[in-house]
Amino acid sequence: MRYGRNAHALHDKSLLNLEQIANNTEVILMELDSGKRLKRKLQEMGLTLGIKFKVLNNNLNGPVIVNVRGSKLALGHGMVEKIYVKEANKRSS
Amino acid sequence: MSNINAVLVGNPNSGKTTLFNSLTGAKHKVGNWPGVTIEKKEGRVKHRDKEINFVDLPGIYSLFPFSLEEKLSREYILENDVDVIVNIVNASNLERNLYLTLQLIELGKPVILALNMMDTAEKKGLKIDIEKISKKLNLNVVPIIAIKEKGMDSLLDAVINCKFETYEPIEVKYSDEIENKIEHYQPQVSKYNKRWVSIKLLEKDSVISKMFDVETKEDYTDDITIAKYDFINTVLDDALYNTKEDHESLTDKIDNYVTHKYFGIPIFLVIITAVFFLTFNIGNVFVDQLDYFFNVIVAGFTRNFLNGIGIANWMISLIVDGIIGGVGGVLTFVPNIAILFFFISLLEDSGYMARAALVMDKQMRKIGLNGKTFIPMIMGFGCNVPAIMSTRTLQNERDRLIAILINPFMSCGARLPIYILFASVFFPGYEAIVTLSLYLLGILIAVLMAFIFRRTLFKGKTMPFMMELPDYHLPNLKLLAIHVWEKVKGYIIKAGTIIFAASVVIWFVLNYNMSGPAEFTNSFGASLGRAFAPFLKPLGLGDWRVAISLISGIVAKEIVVANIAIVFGLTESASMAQFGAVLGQTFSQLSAYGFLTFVLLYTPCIATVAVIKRETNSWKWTIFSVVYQLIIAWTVAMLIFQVGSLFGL
Repeated sequence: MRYGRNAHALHDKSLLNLEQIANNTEVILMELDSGKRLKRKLQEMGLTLGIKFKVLNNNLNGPVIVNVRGSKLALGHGMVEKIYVKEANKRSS
Repeated sequence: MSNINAVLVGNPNSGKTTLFNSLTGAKHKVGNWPGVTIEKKEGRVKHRDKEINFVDLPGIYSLFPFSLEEKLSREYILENDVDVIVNIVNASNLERNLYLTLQLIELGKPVILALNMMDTAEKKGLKIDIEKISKKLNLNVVPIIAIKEKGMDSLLDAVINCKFETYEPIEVKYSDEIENKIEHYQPQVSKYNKRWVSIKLLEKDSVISKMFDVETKEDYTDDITIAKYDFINTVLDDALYNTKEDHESLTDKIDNYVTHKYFGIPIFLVIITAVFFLTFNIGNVFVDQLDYFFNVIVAGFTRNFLNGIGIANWMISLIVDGIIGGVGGVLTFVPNIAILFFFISLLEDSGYMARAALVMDKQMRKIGLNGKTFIPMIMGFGCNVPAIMSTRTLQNERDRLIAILINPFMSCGARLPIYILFASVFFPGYEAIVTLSLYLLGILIAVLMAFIFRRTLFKGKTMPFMMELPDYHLPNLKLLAIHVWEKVKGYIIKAGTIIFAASVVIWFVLNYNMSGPAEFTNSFGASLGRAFAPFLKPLGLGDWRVAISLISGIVAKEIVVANIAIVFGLTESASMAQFGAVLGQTFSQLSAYGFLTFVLLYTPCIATVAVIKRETNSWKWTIFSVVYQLIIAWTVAMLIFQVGSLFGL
């Protein structure tokens, strides 16, 4: 499955973007709704589709700190809104 | 083979620079990669009977050419005679670090894995089965602790014992669909590792596509990236055990405060202020002594000696007044500069700098920049030249241009001597506050200009940023010293070359005119100063001697101090008191402060102009930068003087 920059192909309306996730929540990466370059960069840093990762700090009113594959990443404003996830512990209906 | 060519490759924050310094000591060469301004370091190491030539490649996360660093690293490995790649990985963060390793292995050249920070990994409760990793990746794995210089011999042994000829890289297997495509493209490839090139073609790597003139239809990037990470997981499933699942590390605990919603910015401000005051207070202890050393001991001794052997008076004047005065005046401030660089390196090496960028992101976005732009700004306090080079980490061209154009307003170490001199003379007891106010004014103007540029010349959004937050660690003092020495060496070399030459030229300009040797007041310099003095009159700086000092400051800002000493006829044994007596006739407190703001803001030194030209690759922006700073400096200093005068200051 691939989504282009303007596809906005959010099939699952229940997905949240990273901005909406509280601290210390484990989430699963579902979609990266960004341009190709950024998408590639995020995946190379370990944010591949389907990966489970943890939101550490979302209090900064901008950047969100996550722990993905054992490394701490700060993701800036303008990026976090494009990262769609679902909470890992909630079972989707 | 007696000479081995090795390259050092690794993620940022993997300890690569530390390893390089541990291996080569301070003996390495620092230069630039041809055509670009990324630093290139090379060092030779003798081990057993072999000589190993190490090249330190820039810190990268991937070999996909997003940034210049990545492009350059890849090209270097592909095009040069590289016998072995030493890939340093952070043992406490193997999953992400091994991603680059797999890319390196695919290039087909021998790879040795240096497993760094074994101690941190242990503290985190990670148990690593080195044998298993080595077996599964079919390469030599050497555990090291670069910062404590542990494992260096084993690593060097691995390098010289590497079986270059018989090395067989492992292959990451992709899906059948991708493997079929790889088979299909391999025959069309004429050089490099054929499998690697085919994979790059399937990732739609434009550089490789162009090189081989092959265009693939589908883009398999996602699948290839996921396959690599899946492969890493199968390796680590067997080789990595976490004995302390989910425990909060020291780094996490520190980050709870340092990146706290409310505490983050105050902590940052306290740290920066502390750095500033320490630089000022510790540095000044040495400054007076060095000042005495150069201006009394060295100058006096030289004068007597030269007199004794009957050297002509003009020659003595050139050597003592021109050269010792000029170069010594600059060297006096080596302690301040060293301390400042020490703290900047400390902030960077400890891992704090990334947090500073993070907590400032929100503020920086208000002016239209992202938090990453803040790092070059802080580095500008040391020297604008490396600071402007470091804007390369910004991927968006507009962000970069703004960052470059505002950087010279960040007051560099070379301007500090001028502040110290004038503040001690005109504001005794308030030196630190006066100096701090200038640094803050510089930041204010930089922020203001960024705000204006973003809304006029460079409209658009700032690039969102992504930054790794490395674990905190205590830097190794010896390695920190090497770091500082590299920078201070640059400053001393500058004193010995540019400033030496400028001192001779200035001495000549001030002692000669068209008809030969002349009184100071009739010299070339006086004419030049008089021509520019009216321009500075509205600033309360109409004295031609001030004008000539400022003109000379364009060569290097440090020269202003040396030059003021020369033009005001204070050479040999000028003490602060004598400076005060003479400068007091020309400057009032108000015009002295105006002078300092002018020094802060006006056209940077030649080295900065040159690096702006190189980094923007545009004369237009270079000239723009020089001119707009001159206009701003003039306007601000004029306002300070005129408004201050109205209030009778």
